[in-house]
Amino acid sequence: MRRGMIFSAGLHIAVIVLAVLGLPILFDRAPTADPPITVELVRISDKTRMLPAPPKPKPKPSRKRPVKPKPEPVKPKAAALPPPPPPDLAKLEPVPVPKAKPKPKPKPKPKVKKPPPKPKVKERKRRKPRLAKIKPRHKPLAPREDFVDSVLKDVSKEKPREKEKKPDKKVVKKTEPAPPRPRPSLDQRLTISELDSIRRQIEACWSIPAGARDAENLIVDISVVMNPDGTVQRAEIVDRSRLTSDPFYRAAAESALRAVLHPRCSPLILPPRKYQQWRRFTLSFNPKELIGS
Amino acid sequence: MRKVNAPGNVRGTWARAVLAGAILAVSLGLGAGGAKSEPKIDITRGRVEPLPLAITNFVGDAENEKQIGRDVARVVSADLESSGLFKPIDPEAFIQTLSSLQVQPRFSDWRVISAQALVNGAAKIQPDGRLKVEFRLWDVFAEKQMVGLAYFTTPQSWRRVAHIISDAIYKRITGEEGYFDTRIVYVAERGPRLRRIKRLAIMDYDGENPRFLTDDRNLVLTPRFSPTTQEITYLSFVNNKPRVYILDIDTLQQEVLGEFPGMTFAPRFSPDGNKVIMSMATDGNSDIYTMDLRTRQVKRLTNHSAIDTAPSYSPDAQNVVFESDRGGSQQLYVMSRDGGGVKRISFGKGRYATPVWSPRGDLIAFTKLHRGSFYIGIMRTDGSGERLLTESFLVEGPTWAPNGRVLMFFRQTPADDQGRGATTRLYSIDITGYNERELVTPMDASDPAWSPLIP
Repeated sequence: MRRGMIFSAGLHIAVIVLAVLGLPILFDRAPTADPPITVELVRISDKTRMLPAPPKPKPKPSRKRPVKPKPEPVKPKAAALPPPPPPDLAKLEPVPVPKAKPKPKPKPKPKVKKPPPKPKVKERKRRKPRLAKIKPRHKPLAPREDFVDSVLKDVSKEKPREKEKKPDKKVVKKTEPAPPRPRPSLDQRLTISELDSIRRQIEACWSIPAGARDAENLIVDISVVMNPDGTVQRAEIVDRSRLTSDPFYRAAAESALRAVLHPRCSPLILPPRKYQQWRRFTLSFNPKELIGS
Repeated sequence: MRKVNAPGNVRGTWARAVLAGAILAVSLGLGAGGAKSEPKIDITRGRVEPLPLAITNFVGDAENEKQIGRDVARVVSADLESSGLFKPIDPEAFIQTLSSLQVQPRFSDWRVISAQALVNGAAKIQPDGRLKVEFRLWDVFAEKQMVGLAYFTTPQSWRRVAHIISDAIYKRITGEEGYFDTRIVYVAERGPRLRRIKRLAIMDYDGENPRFLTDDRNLVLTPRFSPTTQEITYLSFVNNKPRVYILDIDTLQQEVLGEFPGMTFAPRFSPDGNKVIMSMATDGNSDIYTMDLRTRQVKRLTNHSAIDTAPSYSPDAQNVVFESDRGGSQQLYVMSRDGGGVKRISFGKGRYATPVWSPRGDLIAFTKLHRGSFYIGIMRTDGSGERLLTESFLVEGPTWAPNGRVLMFFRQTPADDQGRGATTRLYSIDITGYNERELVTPMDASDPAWSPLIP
């Protein structure tokens, strides 16, 4: 009886101990399986400004590599192209032809030119040599600046500074919402800086359609499929329906596509082990911050 | 048995529910994960750099055709380069030969030299003596033709064809109309400051074919192009009486625009070219009037004790922007076409003058004077988004390219102590504020007026 009591008490204690210590462990699996989470305290912009250096070696592989995947889709086009152009021209001839009509107009011009000189012949003669010298047409004033932050120049000095600051803030803001979709395991997910690195690389290749009408509203999505070596396998404009209807959109979309296909951006520098994460992505080209104020 | 079985059944249904839920969750999760795992990256910055493009000499069989081909390619190259949006690549770098290019471009050869677009073409004199110029624009990265066109003209007009081709390339790549097949009217100036001789002159967009439109007897000012016809309206001091005139630049026929009691000035055409809007000063006060060119009917739009002048129509002709000092200082105002709903739009520091509504409709260009410096600036039509593009001792007289993308203006540099060395020159600038260029003229030039595309 006593033995039974002790055994029972011992068993109870064992069960309680197990319940207190063991059960939480059974349910709390997290600590043991927790994968390391990369925490980066670097400034994203600093880290990803390493770009200028790599592009140099890039172009070489890019020339070889993109050619491999491309010929397949391109060949049919290339083959198809030579025939279309002539019909294209033939079709389009009628368009220029009406323009040929105005050209006969130039004929009257010489006539017009002749009459006015009569009273001014002497002056004209004096000036002719000067005019001849003046062949240079537009003189570029100052070398073009290669700028990234402010597309629209403002002579008043305060404004550009504000504009320069803005993008940085916004870049950080925009990157923040990206992470909260941890679908794959955490260390497999593309980190902020890796996403930002893609962004930086593409930005270096994108010529902004600055000055175009409503350029700030021309947001273009390009869907990209990558090869494991970082070259572009396929890049497509998502909204193809607008291409034919809106020449401004077409121009903007083509400029975005050129950025993706730019040799300077091929191959993109990406972590090879996360290929599955960056095999497909969408680039949203949005000049609003640069152009809209 | 029932009691025993019942919980078992309950457990079974629970297990099934959990299993179904799990399957659903997994499938949903995978589905959502599959869609969401594709990252979307916002590209919010970029470069502003001209597009590198290769323009090959247009081929021809005979020597004169080859010469035209070279000339056309040269003019196209200069046109596109001047826009600041394109960077023609030195032909020395070209790899593919012209003859093989006529068959099919080898795009890899053009990628190697960083060309993003390629232009090739041919010039051919037809049996009937006409010149046929054809060209193709290729997208080097996408490896496809973007546009291909052929033009027929007289061989003497090769230069105009070159400008038209430049416009076609510009339009295909930027989505906007070009402005190379245009002309500029300006005031050609010479002589000492107090006895300055000012005449109207015209030239092609690129400075070629300059000629005078008026003689040196009468001082002329503020020429403005009609948006629809090859006519200009301007101010001339015939017999020392300043009045508004209209001149046909093809026939050189000019006429005074109505007999008004006061001095008329600051004329500008309406968008359809059928009306002229201008200022008339009577008794030291000036107001804005319009005159219908067909009916000669005159209509008064403003009636204010302040000075109202420099009116400019919006491209839809529904509104007029003008300058006025009715608020105490010289500012810009917008009113409806019949003179109602006057609203001030400029609120920055300094004085604003000579507003010009963009042919695109989205912007108003103006001259601004602030703390002794002149600026050329642009703002939206509601006055927001003011941006000053260039600053100088004296910059004035902005005029828009027909596509509303580029402005031209004149800049005066100050004279030295002896009153010598002052120059007045024409400049163009992109509305982004970059790509400022001088337009070289035979003599001093001011008050430019940009023509519409030549019909």
